[in-house]
Amino acid sequence: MAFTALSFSSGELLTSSKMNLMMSNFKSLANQETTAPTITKIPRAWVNHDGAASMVGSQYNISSVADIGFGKYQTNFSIVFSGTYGATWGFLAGGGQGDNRMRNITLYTIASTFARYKGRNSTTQQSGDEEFPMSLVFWQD
Amino acid sequence: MGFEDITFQFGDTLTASGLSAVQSNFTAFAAGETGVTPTFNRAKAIVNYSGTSINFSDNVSSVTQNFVGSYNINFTFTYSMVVVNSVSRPSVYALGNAHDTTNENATVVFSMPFFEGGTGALNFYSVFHHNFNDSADSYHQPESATAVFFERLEP
Repeated sequence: MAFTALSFSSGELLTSSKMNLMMSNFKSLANQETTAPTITKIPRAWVNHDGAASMVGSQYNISSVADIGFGKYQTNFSIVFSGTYGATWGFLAGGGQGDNRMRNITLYTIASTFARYKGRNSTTQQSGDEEFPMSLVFWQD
Repeated sequence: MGFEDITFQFGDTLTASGLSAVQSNFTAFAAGETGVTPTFNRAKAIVNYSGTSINFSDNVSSVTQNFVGSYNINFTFTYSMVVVNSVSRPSVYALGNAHDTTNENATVVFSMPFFEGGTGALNFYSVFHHNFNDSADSYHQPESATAVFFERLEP
């Protein structure tokens, strides 16, 4: 149920339906439903996927993930970002790594409806792009 | 307009202004305005920056450059210290990532270590940016970087 903008006027009869709407606004705000005020400083979207771009576990405001090249991925959002956003990342819990080589994830395209990023290992060689399970969280304020 | 801590007393006349204030608290909470009780799992501050240019932020006043690849993220507040295992530590914890948002063929990725500036409460966090395989004194300026700060809240 969408967030309801309520106003109260002096002398107005206070109805149970209006108080119920106010009560439901708590849930609407918590769930960030349509028209609810945007809560700042919380993630706008997140995704977990394996090295083959199959989504694993929970995601939020994500429609799909595509493998667009070895080690390269495109995550498509079910929302539209306006302006700049950023991402933090981590390794997918339980995904497992086969060795102790350092890895990192870097964004290289930020678009309103998708983000492109790639996994890298610590070599500076061209072949350093790498597929591995990962988690990304997208932030905007 | 900040969050209004409203109390309704038994026997009080319920006023339109009181109920309107409750309704406006939804917006104040969402925006994290003055007076909002700190919320678990919600970041204390956030910034996305390109050099010293801020793309978006909350509770961050500025990003200043010490030299290329070394920055101070300046808060609008001074964080407190907490004692963990008998050691005084900042109450703020950082999460961040640096990006090259232009080059899919880049052969490097950028690490983003946070540097604790001291043992006392401060109003900034220091950040360095390195490429993988960089030497210790080599720095890099990424296209953009995101830093999110969480504050330790006692339950």
